[in-house]
Amino acid sequence: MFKDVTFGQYYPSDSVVHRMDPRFKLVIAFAFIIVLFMINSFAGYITAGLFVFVCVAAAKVPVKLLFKNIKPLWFILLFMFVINVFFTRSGNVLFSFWILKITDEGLIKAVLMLIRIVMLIFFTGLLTLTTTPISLTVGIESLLSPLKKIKFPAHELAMMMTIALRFIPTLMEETDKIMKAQMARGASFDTGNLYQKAKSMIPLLITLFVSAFRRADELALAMTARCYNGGEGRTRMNPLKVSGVDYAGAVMTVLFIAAMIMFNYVHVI
Amino acid sequence: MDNIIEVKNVTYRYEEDSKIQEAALDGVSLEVERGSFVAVIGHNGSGKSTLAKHLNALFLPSEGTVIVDGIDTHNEEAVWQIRRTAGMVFQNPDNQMVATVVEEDVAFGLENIGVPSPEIRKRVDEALETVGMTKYAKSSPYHLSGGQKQRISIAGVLAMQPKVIIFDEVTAMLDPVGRTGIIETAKKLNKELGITIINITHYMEESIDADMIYVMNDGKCVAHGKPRELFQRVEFLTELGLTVPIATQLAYSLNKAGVDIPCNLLTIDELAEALCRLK
Amino acid sequence: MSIKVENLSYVYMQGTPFETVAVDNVSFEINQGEFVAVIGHTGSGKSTLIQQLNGLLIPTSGRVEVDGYEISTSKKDLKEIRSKVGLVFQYPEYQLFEETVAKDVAFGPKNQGVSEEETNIRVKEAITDMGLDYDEVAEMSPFELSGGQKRRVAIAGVLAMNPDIIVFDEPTAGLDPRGRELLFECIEEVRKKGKTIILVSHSMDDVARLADRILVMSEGKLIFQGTPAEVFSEQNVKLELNAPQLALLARKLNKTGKFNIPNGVFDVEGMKNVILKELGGKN
Repeated sequence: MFKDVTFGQYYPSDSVVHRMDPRFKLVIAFAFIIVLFMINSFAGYITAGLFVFVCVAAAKVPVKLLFKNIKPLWFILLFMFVINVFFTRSGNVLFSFWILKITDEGLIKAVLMLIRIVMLIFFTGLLTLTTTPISLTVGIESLLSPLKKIKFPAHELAMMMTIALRFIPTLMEETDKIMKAQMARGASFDTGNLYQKAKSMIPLLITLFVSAFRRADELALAMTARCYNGGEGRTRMNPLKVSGVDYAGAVMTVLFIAAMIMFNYVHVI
Repeated sequence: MDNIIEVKNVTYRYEEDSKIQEAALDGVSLEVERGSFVAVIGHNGSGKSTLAKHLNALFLPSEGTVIVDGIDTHNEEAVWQIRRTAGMVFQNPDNQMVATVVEEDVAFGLENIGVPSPEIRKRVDEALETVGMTKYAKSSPYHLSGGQKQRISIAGVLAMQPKVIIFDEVTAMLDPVGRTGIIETAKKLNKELGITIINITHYMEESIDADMIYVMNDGKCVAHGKPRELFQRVEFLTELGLTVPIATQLAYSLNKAGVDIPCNLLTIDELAEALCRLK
Repeated sequence: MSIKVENLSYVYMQGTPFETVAVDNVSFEINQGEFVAVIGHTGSGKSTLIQQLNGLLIPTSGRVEVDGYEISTSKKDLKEIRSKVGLVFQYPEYQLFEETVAKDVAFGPKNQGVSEEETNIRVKEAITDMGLDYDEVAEMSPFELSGGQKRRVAIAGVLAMNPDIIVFDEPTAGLDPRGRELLFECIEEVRKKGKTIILVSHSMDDVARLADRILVMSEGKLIFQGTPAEVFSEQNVKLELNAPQLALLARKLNKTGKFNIPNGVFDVEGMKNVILKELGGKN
């Protein structure tokens, strides 16, 4: 059952976006998302949309994959849309029924909110599709490294993320195996009331924990044998390198973001 | 004689666990000649894995000394030097890989000891080439077979340019195809690169070609010898819960039944030849 | 009590680009009390095949019938079938979770709704059948046992469900020679009680020695079935299997023309006697 889950949905390709330094990608994504929630003009929205479009095109990622990210979130999107539609009281009433009122302002607000969220999902999706999990962690470690001065465990955090990413599929497969073995011994995970279902999970969880600890123990020994001694003095096979692509991307982002903010004050449309 | 490893009178107790009062290792002494292929055999719980972990300072002896390439493992400052000299591959292929990409995992040890990036690249490529896994450099180890994963782990150790590699029951979880591949790789490292190999195992077939076999039982090293001498002691080994190769077993029981055949035959080929000579 | 498998196929992730046919149109029957081995390389579909024998996987097409019950999505039938077909997975000792050995072994019978009294009887019997001293281990934590003992406790947990058919997936993987031997002795004992045994194994020497019949899987297909003597006969060399060592010896000796060793001698004692007879008066 877990075989169908794909994790760290990296889409291998050789686009400019793929080649960018993960640190730049992280900062750009972060900046874009913040500004996305600051815009309040149509022109701003159009600029943001254009930016997303340019990035997707440059990344050569199938748009279908980006839409796939929205699928599991459709309910939340719908919920937010409905909330925005019904709870905006100002504006001209377009339709009213019982205590519910739909106003033109509410409708516009809801649609804009929806566009915002979809752009957010697209953009973060683009980040994970064009960056391997490992270079994401390397990027995060590097960005957080100035905090090492105040004893922030940046390297440890990144190492833990790497190990987690490495072991997620292993533990998922293991869960599947344990469930099957317990089902073969008459356990059932999908019958009975909530209490019975929760109770049937206990043997599964105990077994899984014991196994995870055993793995952790062995991994720690193996890492020690391979001279792992914390982050100090470590080098990297593929050190992060800033190239022309990164500066170009950064300049482009700054321009777009400047435009998005500018339109908040200068109303063109 | 030039010994790369010397274990002198080593006793080891798992002190933190009060339930185990017996020593896991009890006065073990052995020597490993530089460039040789040594097998350490013994049943599960005989202390062979505990011994293995002494050879790269993962465990330190409670009594006695272990010398690796001239350095005492008690020397705390030299511990990383020792682990670079004596690399180790473990039993479970899934629990010794750190990275989600094959080549990243092979690079892990080199990154730990601060090798410059271009040098890492070079050594990783060479190590993958040696174990025949170049094709999978960019793959995720998750989709590889157990035997392939173990070869990646060997590459990770190999890239560190060790003088000794300890195989700690590396084949126990593999199928016959994977097992043969690993043993072939170990022999190749020994023959072509001159790396000393110490293979900890309970598969007798894996020790037939060894230069020397040490037999562990109840934390003691109870016998050692060349395969041909050692395997003749069929009853002694059976007593210890071990077996001898099936050809040796048959030769031994034929010999007992009065057939004029030597007991020191190791392979089916040798046995067939000897039998034909009788007719 | 028999298993009837007809035109069985299993496809993983059907309808996606990752679609793989793991079991491909396989048919066979296994009779009450038989000891059948399933062999084949890793990835040949053995594991997928055996998981369909007790409905852990539901066939993509074809039928599996156990004692008149057919594997389908019917929960009632599945429960019945899982009580009849016990499945011991690889490294079953990693499945132990209870505080005591006795409680762990009782997990299966309790799920079956067996009375406490009956459960206790079964637990004791199963632990004893696995060659362990009930009084000694029953109240111990399973985590205090040695590796080989843990495995036998885990197998006792399946035996305690009182299945008629027991499927073992690589039961001796990772055990040392003595542990292997002990476990096979226990399996022989269980078999003597009239249980049907299905053994998945990579060890041709063990399989040839123990099984009545062997199913050979390759790339999802059942490519051959027969007695060990038939499977490992000289005519069958094309199967590209690691033949048992003694079969190789027989081939080598017969090739010289000096010997005439019959097919199907797979144990050292038997081979010794055959060779003694062949050497005849000379010694």
